[in-house]
Amino acid sequence: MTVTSQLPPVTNRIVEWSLKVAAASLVLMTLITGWQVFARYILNNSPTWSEALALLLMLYYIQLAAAAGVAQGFHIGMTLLLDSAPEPLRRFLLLFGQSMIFGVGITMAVNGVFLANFTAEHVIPSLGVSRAFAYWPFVGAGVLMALFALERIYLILRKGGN
Amino acid sequence: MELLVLFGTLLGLLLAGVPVAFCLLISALACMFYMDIPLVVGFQRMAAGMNVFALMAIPFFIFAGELMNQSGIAERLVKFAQSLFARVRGGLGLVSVGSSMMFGAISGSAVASVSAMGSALVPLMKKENYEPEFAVSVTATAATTGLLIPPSHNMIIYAIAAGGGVSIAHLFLAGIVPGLLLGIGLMVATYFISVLKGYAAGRFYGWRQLARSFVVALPGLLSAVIILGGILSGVFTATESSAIAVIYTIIVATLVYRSLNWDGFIQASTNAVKTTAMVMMIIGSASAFGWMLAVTEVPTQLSDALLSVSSNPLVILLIVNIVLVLLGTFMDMSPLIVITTPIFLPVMTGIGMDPVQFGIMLILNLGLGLVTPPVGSVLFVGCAIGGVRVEDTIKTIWPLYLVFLVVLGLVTYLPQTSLLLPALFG
Repeated sequence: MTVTSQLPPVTNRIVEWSLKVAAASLVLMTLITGWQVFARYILNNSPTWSEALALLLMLYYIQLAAAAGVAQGFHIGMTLLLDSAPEPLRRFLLLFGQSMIFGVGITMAVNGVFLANFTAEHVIPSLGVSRAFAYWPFVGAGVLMALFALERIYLILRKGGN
Repeated sequence: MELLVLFGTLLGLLLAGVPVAFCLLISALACMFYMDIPLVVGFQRMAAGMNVFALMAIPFFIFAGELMNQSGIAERLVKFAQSLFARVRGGLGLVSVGSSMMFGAISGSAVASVSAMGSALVPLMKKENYEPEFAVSVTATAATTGLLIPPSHNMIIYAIAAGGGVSIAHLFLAGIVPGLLLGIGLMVATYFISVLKGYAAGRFYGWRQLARSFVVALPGLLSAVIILGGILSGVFTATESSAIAVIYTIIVATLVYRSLNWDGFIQASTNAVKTTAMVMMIIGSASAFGWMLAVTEVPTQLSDALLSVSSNPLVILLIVNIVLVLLGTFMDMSPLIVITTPIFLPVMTGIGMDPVQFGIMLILNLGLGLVTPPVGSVLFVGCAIGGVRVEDTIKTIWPLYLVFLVVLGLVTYLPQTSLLLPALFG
C-alpha cells in the first residue's frame, strides 16, 4: 500500500492540488524565462520583472511540492537501517523521523512569520511588491509539513506506517 | 563540542532514516541553538540559498529530461546507436553505452538514463543471450556518463555550492573529455568482455538505415547543441538556455515526433516538480548547514588534519578521492555535493587544484557511488528493471569499475583532462 493511498481524502486533495499548482508554476516560470529571451532578442526590450517573478514563483512551487513530499514520502533519505530494522525499531524510527519533520514545520512557520514581518517594508525593486512575499511560502510550507507529519504519525500509530 | 553537535546530529538523523534535507536543517539548527545563535538565521540562510537566479536552471533541466522521457526521444537514440554499433561483437553493450552518452547529453540524469535505456536495451540483451547481470552492469555504469557530459544539473548544484564563483559554462566544458573517456573506456571494456564471453555481433542494416536513424534522432540531439551553444556563445545564460531547452523539447515532441500528449505533459511536469522540490530543499537546507560549517571553521580544521597526515598534494588528493568514493556509496549525489563542497573545496584550492577540476573529480567520485552498493540508486534501478539481484550484478561490474578508476586517476592527476576545453573555449 502506498503512502498516498493511506491518506484521508482531504489530505489527498490538498497534496494533489499542491502538486498541480506547483506544476503550473513550473510551466509559467518556463514561459516567463522564454519570454525574457524573446523580448531581449526579438523585441529588443528586455523585461525587468521577469527574473524576479520567475524566482518568486520557484520559491512558492518548491515549498508547496516539498510539503506534498512530506505527505507522499518522496524526500530522499538513507533507509539502510530503516529497511533492515526489526518492526518495533522501524516503527520507532519512523515516528521519530516524522516528529522531527513536525518540529521543523512548526519552527519554519514561526520563523517565516518573523522574517516576513521583518521584511514587510522592504520592496523587491523590479516587482514593486514587499520582500515578505519571498518568506510567506516558508510559513505555508511549514504549516503544511507539520500537518502532514502529524497525519503520518497518526497513520504509523494506527497501521504501522509505510 | 560544536562540531560534535553539528555532525553528531547529522549522522544520527541520517541513520534514523530522516530525509536528508531535514537532517541538514535540523543539525544546523541544533548547532545554532547550542551556540546561542538565533534560529531565524538558519531559515534566513535557507531562503537566501534558494533565492538564486542560477538555481532555476535545475528545475528546467529536470523538466526537459522528464519531457524527453515521456516523449520517447530515448527510443530514437537507441535506434541510432543500434545502427551505429550493433555490428561489433558485444554490439548491444556498446549500443547501451552510446545511447546513454547521447541521452546524458540531453537529459543529464543518471537515474532517468538507466530507466530509459535499461527498459529498452536490457530485454534485448537478454534475448541475445547476454548474461542479465552483465547487461544491467553495462547499462547502469553507462548511465553515469550523463553526469559528466553537459548539461548536468549536478554541475549547477556544485557551482552554487561552491559559492557562485565557478562558471557553469566552464564546468560544462570540463565534463566533456572525462565523459567521453568514461564512455569510450566502458565501450572498450564491454567489447573485451563480450569477446571473452562469446557474445555475438549484431546485424548491420546498411548506411541508409544509419542515415535514417540519425535524421530521426537529430532533433532530440540538437537540444544539447542549443544548450551548450547558447551558453558558450553568450546568447543565453545557463538558466535561460535550460528554459529554452524545455520549450524546444515540447515543440519537437509535439510537432516533430508527435509523441507527447497532454497526460504525458502533466506527468512530466508533476515528476519534475517532485524531483526539484526534493533537490532544492536539500540545497536550501545545505545553505544553512554550510553557514554553520563556515562558523565552526570546519574546512580549516580539515585542511590542518589532512596536512598533518601528509604535505604531499598527491597523497592528499588520494585521501580525498577515497573519502568521496566511500561517502558516495552511502548517500545520493545531490546532497553529497552540497555537503562536501564547502568542506573540501577550500582544502583542494589550498593545495593548488582548480575549482572546476575539483567539481569534475567530485562528480566522478560520487557517480561511482551511484553504481556501488549499499546505496547505489542507479545500480538499484538497473537491477529492478533487469530483474536481477544486486549481489549477482556486482560480480560482473568490477571490470567496469576499473574504467572509472582510470578516468578518475586522469581527472585527479592530469588537470588538462578537464581543464583543456575550458581553457580553449571558455
